[in-house]
Amino acid sequence: MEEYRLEIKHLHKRFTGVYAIKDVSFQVKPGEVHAIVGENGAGKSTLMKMINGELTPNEGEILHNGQPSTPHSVAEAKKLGIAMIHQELSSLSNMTIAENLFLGHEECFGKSSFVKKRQMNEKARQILKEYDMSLDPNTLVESLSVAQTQMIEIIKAVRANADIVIMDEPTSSLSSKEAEKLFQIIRDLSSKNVSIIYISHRLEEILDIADSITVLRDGQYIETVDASTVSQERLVELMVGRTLDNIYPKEDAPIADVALEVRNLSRKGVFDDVSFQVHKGEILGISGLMGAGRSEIARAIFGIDKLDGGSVLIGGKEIRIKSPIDAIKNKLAMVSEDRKLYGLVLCRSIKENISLPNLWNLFKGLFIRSGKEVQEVEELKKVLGIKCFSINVNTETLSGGNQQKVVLAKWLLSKPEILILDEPTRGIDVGSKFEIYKLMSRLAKEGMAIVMISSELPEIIGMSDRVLVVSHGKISGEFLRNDITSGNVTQKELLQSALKI
Amino acid sequence: MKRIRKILAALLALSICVAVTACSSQTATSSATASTAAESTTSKSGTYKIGVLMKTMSDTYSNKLGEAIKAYAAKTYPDVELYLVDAQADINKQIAQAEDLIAKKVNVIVLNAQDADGSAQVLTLAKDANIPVVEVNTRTTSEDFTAYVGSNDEEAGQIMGKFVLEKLGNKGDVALLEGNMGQSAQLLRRKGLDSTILANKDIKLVAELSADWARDKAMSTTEDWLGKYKDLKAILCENDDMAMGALEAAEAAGRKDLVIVGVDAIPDALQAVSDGRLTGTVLQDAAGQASKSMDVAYKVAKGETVEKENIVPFQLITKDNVANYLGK
Amino acid sequence: MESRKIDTMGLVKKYGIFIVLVTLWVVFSLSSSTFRTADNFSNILRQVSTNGIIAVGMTFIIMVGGIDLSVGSLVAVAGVIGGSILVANPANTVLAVIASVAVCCLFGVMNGFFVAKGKVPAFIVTLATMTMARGFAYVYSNGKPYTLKSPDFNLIGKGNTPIIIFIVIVILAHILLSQTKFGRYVYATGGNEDAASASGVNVKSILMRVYILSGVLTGIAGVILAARTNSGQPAVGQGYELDAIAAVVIGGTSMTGGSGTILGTLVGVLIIGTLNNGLNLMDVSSYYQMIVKGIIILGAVFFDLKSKKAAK
Repeated sequence: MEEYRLEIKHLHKRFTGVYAIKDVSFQVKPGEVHAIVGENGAGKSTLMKMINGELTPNEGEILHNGQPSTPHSVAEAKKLGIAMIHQELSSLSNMTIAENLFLGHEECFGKSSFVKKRQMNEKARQILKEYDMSLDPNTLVESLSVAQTQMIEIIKAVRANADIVIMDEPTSSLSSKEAEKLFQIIRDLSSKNVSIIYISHRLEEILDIADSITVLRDGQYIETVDASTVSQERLVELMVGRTLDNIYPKEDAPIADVALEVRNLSRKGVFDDVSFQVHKGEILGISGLMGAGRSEIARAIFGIDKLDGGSVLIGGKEIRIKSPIDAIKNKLAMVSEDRKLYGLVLCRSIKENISLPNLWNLFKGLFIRSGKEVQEVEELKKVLGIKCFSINVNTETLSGGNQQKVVLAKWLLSKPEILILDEPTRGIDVGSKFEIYKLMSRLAKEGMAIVMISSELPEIIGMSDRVLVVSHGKISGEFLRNDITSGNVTQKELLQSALKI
Repeated sequence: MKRIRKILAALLALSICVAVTACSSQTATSSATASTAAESTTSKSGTYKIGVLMKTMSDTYSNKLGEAIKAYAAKTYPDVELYLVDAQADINKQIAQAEDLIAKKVNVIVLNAQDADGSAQVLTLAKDANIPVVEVNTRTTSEDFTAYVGSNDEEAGQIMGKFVLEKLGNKGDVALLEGNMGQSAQLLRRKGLDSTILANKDIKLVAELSADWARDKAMSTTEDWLGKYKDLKAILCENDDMAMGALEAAEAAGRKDLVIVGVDAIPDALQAVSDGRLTGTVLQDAAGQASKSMDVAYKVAKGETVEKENIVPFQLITKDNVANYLGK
Repeated sequence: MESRKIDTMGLVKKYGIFIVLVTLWVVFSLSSSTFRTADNFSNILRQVSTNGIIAVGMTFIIMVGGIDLSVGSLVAVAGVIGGSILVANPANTVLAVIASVAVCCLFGVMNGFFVAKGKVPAFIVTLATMTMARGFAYVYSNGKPYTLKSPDFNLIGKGNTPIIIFIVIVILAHILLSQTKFGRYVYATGGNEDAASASGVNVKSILMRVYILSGVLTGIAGVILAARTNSGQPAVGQGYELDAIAAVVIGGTSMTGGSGTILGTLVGVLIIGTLNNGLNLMDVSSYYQMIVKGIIILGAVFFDLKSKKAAK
């Protein structure tokens, strides 16, 4: 057996003269779980795309099992045994599990093109069992959870004899239970000598699952460290190139009048009898499992989904919110959980995205005064530290962290009094996370009421003045910051509250 | 406020629409009583059922032919139940309509073919159902027809060719606007021109393009030509709609000297000839074709023998004799 | 060295389709002396004015991720409505124009209503309208063309008038799209309807207005065509929707919505018009013209996409 499964030698990649990857080299051993970390924009995605054949390096080479084999297309990479599980899953959602598993190598009667449906279903059932999944192979993929779909992807890759599986943020939309299962499968694959390249922003899980960790910064190779000896603090330092004092820069802010109150909100089959208040200067954390109804409550308050009952009061007055237009006019703003679906118009520029919800307010006439618009946007860009060549570039070219900052910017420009943040730091890098926390803390201090929905307990505990736990569409618990920080309430209790029926 | 304005605007638009419909129906009553466009049957149930497959009712000549057939049948043959359908220049539609007529068990089908090859299918269908077919105005490639009533399009080409040749004094540059290539009217009219004006050595055919029988296309094409061919003396047009398009373009370019001739003698063209704008047109006698085709179809329905070829002659119309045809 | 390379790439990216147009002009100018005359250029502009005006409306439609197949039929509707009024009284030019445009506007309202409020796919809605409007034109006119004898009305289609109307519409549409809130909302709606809606854009109203705009512009185009040919014909305009869509797509507007410009569409319209005119002048037979046009349309868009990709 070769010493290395994959060897990256002095890779360079330039985009219109700018280096995205500059002289990166590292090695992956057979059966090794090798994590790649770095802030957004550090070049992880570009690097993976080159290994996966989506991009071709300008210089350098890739050795696979000792053979020089820089792939020139995804198909070529697949043939070599390199498979990538994307952040955006690529299963065909309107086909069944079995059809997906056998896609491209269907079993047919003889040489005909009639597929052996029953045999394939039976085989698929066995395969699923091997991976400890009790699913009907006839299930449509669109009806599966993200975790299950991901599993199908992994199974597909391994069945196609992949000996290197690249996973890009595989846990970003998984619950911790689902993530645990994924880790088990990763360990399983590793014991079968399949190498894993693992990309994630969650350092805790990287330290847990990876054997070695390669750090990239600004497109350059920094260091490869042994996961069993390195500390989280050290990793963060390597990634950002400086030390961070405190991950959660929450400052105490004076808590004043009630800004938003909801009473007995309900939406059939989604949530029921939800009441709470948020005060000016307060950060209210809403925790709970994925699918518990947290985002749905926020969406209904903001007028995206319809409410079946209940009332919304802003500044003590009851208002009717029929659409986001009403919400915006009442000084509400919401950064939604899925920035690509509800946050950004990806094919348009940073400038247009930021001014989109504010045009009605900023420009009273028919025409947009471009001078004023540019000025406002440039200022927000500076305040939030959005990294880009110009405010006229399309948002799809930005990294996740910068995209999230654009979404924040567009809502900050609307000068809201109440800001709802749904998973504000999902899938973004440590540096950007820190900046967003700092911003939240500052906004609260200035008197804004903030509702933060998050699946990450450390974040909830670190940033909230008060925590609500949602379980099965109902509020199942409320905890105060003092109780949490003083140790009266533990993470475990919060979790138990979330699991309550 | 905004909403009220919107509603007002909508109401205004609607009222205009109503007004338009009202005043147009007043002007159109005379023709509207004759038919509705899609299908018309005489109300009386007759002894003989005759189906008429029109290729279209929307070019001026076809419209005239169809209306004349309806009018003549209603006046002359009260015992005929007439089914006249419009294929809207779509060969598939024509074949489907033929199938419908066969299903209705008509005694005779009068076919105004959409295209020479495609409509031959109608004859095959009718033959299988033992229904005789009378072709009118346009021939198909099939030989299974019982009778053909029409004018010899080659003759139209010849009449036009001779006339223009004489007008030009046997020499000069000419251009030709053709109809849909491959239709028998196009092929035969072209043949008539080939054997007359285009056979002359001193006549130079500088440009020839198809404008698909259509006025707007003929207009654009002529505009392009007039910029290029400064010595152009005449534009030969295989129908009047194209001639009218060419005329609009020529007048806009200040080329009132151009000899422009069409075929069909549609009302527009007759008026233009009378006004001295259009040099001439060749009359395809729609009324003559209509009456002849109904006469022949009636005889066939009754089981009498008929001539296979029934030619209705073309006539040249110029400023000298246009008065006889105007308002007819 | 490096920076100059970037510049040429940027240039190709920005003006890819424009380069195609200029190339066509150069080729035709070299092969036909008539082509390069001022008269011929105004011929081209006059001939593209109808398709151009329709294509401007179509640009908005495609920009919001929709499609409008009904435009060809609406051209005929405008012609017969205006025609009937002018046949009744040749002096009624103003009423004829307003009524033609108003009726087309109503068809636009219908399209917009079913697309925006009814959530029926635009392809289906406008396919239905296309058939209905064509039928309406036939029924209304008894299938017979109206012959127009109104000198006033004829002026609309004569000389430079269609060109001026076309250019004014292009300029207004360009300003509307690039300088106004409505334009921004159109881009946002086409780029991501959900995100636009969550940002407080009244997506339904935007869709509605875009379809109405297309109806109105098509009505204007229909009026010009009727005035140009001096007749209102129920059969006119078949296939115009495809010419308009071709112009928009050649002009770089994405069929999935969210990006594109009016100036791009203008270039697309000019490419099609130049092809028609240039090939006529080169005496290329009508049927070869179709093949050449198809190849150039495909080639132009291919080249445009390639250059955009290379510049990325």
